[in-house]
Amino acid sequence: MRILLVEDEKDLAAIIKQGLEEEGYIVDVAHDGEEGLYMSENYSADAVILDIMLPVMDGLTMLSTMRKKGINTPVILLTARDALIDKIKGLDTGADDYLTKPFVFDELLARVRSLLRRKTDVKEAVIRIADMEINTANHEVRRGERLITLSAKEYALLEYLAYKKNIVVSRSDIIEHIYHEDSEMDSNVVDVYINYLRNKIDKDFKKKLIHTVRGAGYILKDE
Amino acid sequence: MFNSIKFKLVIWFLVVFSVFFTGMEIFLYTRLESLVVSLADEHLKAETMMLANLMAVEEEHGQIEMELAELSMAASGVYAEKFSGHYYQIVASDGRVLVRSPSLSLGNATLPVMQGTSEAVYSTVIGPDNEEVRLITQSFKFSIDTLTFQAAESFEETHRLLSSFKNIVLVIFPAVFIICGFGVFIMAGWALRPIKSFTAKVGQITEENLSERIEERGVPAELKPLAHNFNTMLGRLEGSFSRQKQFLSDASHELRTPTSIIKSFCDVTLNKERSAADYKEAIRRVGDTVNRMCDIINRILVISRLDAKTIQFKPSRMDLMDLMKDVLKLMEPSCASKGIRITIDGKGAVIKGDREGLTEVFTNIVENAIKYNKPDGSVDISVSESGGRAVVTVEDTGIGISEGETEKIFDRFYRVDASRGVTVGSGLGLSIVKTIVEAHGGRIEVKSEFGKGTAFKVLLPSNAD
Repeated sequence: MRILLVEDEKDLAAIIKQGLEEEGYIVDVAHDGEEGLYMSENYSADAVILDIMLPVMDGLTMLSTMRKKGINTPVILLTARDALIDKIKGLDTGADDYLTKPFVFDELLARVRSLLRRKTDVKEAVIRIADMEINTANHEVRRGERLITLSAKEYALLEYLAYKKNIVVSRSDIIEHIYHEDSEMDSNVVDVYINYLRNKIDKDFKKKLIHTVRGAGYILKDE
Repeated sequence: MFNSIKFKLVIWFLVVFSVFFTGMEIFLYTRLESLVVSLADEHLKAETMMLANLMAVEEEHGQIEMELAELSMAASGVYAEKFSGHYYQIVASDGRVLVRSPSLSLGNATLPVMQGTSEAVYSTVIGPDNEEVRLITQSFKFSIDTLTFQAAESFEETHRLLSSFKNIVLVIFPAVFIICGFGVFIMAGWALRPIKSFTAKVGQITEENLSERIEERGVPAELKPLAHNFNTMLGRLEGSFSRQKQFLSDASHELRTPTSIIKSFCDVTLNKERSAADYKEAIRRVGDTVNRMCDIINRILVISRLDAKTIQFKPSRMDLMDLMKDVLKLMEPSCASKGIRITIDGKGAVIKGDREGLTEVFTNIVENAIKYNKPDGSVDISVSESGGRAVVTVEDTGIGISEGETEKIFDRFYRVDASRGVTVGSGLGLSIVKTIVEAHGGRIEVKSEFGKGTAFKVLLPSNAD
């Protein structure tokens, strides 16, 4: 999953980026509102973490411009202001959630997960497909009783497919949401990782969950 | 109770009232008394004259002896009755009483015998029947002898009149006193009612509703200045309260960002096992952020001390040139690392000021000139004196400040947009600078061109004698 972080305090941006990346997210960082707006238009982020007090263009202006341009990516506002009026204004401008500085990092992660579920059918941290359970909070994957160990990249791929369960995702979608733009990626790599995943979650089970849709991409489905 | 305006008003009124009333009473009483006595005197004089005239008429007819006998016997009316309170007698020059009115002779009494003169003499004496009487004594010359005529009138009626007047006054006075006292008490309460409602209104104003004001219309004229002053004071209080609130909210806002950084570093670092080098790096960055936080806290403390005026400036005479050279020495390392050229010139200027405070002022200004400069830029300082003022200018070739912002840079926690995220600062430096300069009786000016550079000019009263 790809997250756009718009924060002008460089130290804070760096540590949030690090924390999110360690959770398997791809993170793009913008240091002012204008850059953030540009990135939200051109990078396919799954969620935006947005500071309100930003140079050049403040967070709320950036948010309303984003919404006017039809970019509906879920947004969580991150700010040092905790005045009620600011929260109301932020939510009315089009934010999906609100977090006041200083925050507990795990809360930020939980809120990000909750935002990522918004546009899907998933309502809790554990995604269930057939007998497979993916715990998005601690990244544990089980099929039946069996615990399946996945690498970070494999997990990120599985999670992305799971959020889009029963929907066909193209190879380029996968690349956009799972891989950092500066890593040299071609669509073959996706096939390679799909193959690894199949070996771990489908191979020993009768019911296969990952299916190839010829000419279109892949689908994770339970029927 | 005793220390109330109402009580004092009543007491004052009653004291004034009783002094005035008692004085009037005494005056009226003595006036009445002398009036009554002079009436009696006139009456006695008339009686005596009448007797004397009668005698004179009879003398012309040579029947004076007969007339004397007649006067002793054949008096009529009030003089015929024993102890009627109206008497006369005629005394010969040898002291013999020739004639007594029947009112005397019937009781075998005599008026105190006196030899009169041609002028009437009045006196108050104890007369017959132990009664106080008013007595007239006057002598008239006749052919036979110089006769003294004495007539007297009882004072009893006069006494009765005066004492009834006294009685009336003694009853009326306390009654009027009590009624008036009560009336004044009620009226004072009524007159002081606006104070009560004013107090109630004032009492309703608390920290929560400082924006409310006392309605000045309808307030009695005496309370208007009070209401007006109170409103002015409320305005000042409100301003200072909201500035305080704003300062507190800004200060906590400024502290939230470094706190978030520290917290995130701790949270993220502790989320999984890491290498010693990673922990070291995390601690180093937390340490950096803590330093930054300390700096902000220190500046907040300085600002609040400057506000509360608990910082004691110790003025001493000094040449600003020396001070600027010291500041320059402090700044040299950061200049060198950014490749910035720094110069100082001018004739110097002697002032009287607090060395520590002014060092803070110029360190801040020069620090900004370096911080917001371009690589290979320059900072030019000049120290001179003109028109009784010491002038220090610090010119840089930095990023400059846009036109709309030059006003705001001295505001607390204000940071120029372009500086956010670029350079770490508390947003308090220039606010401290301004406060210290103004405390020295000086002022600070700024001229800036966006993208080209900024010039700060500090003017302080010179002390060059």
